[in-house]
Amino acid sequence: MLLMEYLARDLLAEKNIPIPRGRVVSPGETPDLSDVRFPAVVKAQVPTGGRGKAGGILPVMNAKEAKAVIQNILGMTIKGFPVERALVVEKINGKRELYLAILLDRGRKCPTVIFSASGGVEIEEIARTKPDSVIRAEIEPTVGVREYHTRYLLDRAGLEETCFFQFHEILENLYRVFWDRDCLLAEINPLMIDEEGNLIAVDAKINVDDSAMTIHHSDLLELRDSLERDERVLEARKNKFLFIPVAAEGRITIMSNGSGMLMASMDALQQRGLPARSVLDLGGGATADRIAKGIGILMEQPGVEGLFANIFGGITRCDEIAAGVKTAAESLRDGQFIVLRLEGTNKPQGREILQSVSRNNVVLVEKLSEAAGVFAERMGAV
Amino acid sequence: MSILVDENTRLIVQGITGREGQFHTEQMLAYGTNVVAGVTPGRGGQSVHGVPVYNTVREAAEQHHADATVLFVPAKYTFDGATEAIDAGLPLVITIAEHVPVLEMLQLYHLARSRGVRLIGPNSFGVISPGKSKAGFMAHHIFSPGNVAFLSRSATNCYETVLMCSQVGIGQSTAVGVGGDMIPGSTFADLLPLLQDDPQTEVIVLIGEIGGDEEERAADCIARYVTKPVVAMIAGRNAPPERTMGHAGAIVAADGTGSAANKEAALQAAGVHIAETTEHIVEILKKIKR
Repeated sequence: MLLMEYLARDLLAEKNIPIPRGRVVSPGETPDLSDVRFPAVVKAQVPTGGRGKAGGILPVMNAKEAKAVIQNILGMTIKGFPVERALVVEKINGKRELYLAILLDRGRKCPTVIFSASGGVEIEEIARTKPDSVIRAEIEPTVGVREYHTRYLLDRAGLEETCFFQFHEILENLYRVFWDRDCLLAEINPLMIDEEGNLIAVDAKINVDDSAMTIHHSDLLELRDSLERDERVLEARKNKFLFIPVAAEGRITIMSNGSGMLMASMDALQQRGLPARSVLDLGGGATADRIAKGIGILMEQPGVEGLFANIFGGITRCDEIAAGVKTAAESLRDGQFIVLRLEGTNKPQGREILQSVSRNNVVLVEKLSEAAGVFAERMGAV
Repeated sequence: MSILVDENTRLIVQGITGREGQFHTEQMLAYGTNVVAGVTPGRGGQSVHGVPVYNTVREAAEQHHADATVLFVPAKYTFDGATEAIDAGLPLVITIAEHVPVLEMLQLYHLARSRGVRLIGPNSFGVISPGKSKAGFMAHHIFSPGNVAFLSRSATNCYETVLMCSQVGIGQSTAVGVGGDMIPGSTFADLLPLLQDDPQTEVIVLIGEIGGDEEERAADCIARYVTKPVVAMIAGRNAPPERTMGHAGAIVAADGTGSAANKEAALQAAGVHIAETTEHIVEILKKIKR
């Protein structure tokens, strides 16, 4: 899960990384700004980038001005996300903006530090145009961060060593955030050098591994569900499914028992010009009643006409799938249909159950290409 | 031959007394797998389908000269179970659970290497050498013995392709569920040399996915070491792009690593046949066989 700034900075503060003083404000709240120093900045909290360019970050000179700007920002929608929180933080006047991140490097199988002396919003552009200014250092997971990492990063960046100990402490602490909180990414951008020469983490982005969250971080898990606004995602989660919205509209939805086959199914339909609106991953071992619920979640989306259920059961059993499809088929709207491909464990039992589907809205197919053909015919594509 | 498991493999099942552990122990025994012992802490002295159960992996391994283990334990216990197996000196550890924390896998990956242990999975169907043995939960009736090896990040896409192959008489030497997670215990590049050296294997099929760089690394390995024909499919060219990795993700993937196009280009440059769908894999295999 990608944590918004106001949550990410809490995790940094947990490990003693200096952050600007500030306060989070929700709609309807009378903000107490007594401990905020001015001038300050009001920042919209949304789970997407580019909020500054969208007008979601504004400077304010005093508490009165701040309150007006907060009201304004809390009414905004940025890239489709309504702003539900505003963060008011003291403005940090900096001499220099650095970029510091720790990322899980899948290829090298280790955490990797990414550092640049030219941080800020243009970091990706800088990485493209001046790749040498972005420095990488791998961290051996059994050893962790050592002083030589800091020496190397600062030396390559051409930064005077005056902030060596401060920087090293922040790097060590950021690594603690990364490791203790099971992060895939812990990014500080910008890491500001202020007018006194102190380092301060002005903005942060943290992505926590969802699997680890489920097992080790119940506090973040509760937060994830409280922040989710898509009811289908929540409903799917309750049933241990993964619902992924793909497009804002569309007539086709897809369900499968594994992400690989889900992707292959999307690809096969897309080849015929049939994009999916959403997909649902059942995972392994789903039972009939849960499957019927999963189909319900998908078919209740407005405008959805057809479901492609592509199942190859290993640990999932075909008779459970068939019973779930049968139940769900009873409550489809007129004109809605299910194209079912059923293979694997207990297939004969599954096919027998499907014999007794009373409505004529389930089409059985044997192959992926055949399924794509059925959709193409019914939906008038190529 | 074949790789990793065969009729001589002496397998332990960790979590043998659980629902899935019991069911799949029965399935594995029916397939002919030599399941020598099971492990569930606190259940030592019991038996499951005639297989004796022990409290610890070390005791099970010592009593039965086991040389492999498969973990039918939930994600939450995979780290403990796998470290116990590695510590007990088993040379092959197969993990199947979905949703194992990534940083736990990272530690297991390095621990296994430092001990010379081959770790397979997680999020994997296991390993099967058709007609000989299986260690995992794959639906074995779709497999048939033969000369095509499969390495797959996806269980379902692998089943799909194997079924179609078996239907047209193309059998398999070994199928390995490399697993769909960010850090697999063994990568394509780790396993390809074993298949190159396996006399039974004549053709290799890789079923990959978008994300990460295992396919790019596989291409590099193939170019340097593999002379057998390789067919590859990359699932997910129309999947929604991953947007959660921040600037760092964009910086790291600035060269295009991770996209289906990049992976296909790298594999193609290494002489690999690229298939667009699972059905296409079978068509290519038919041509190679001819």
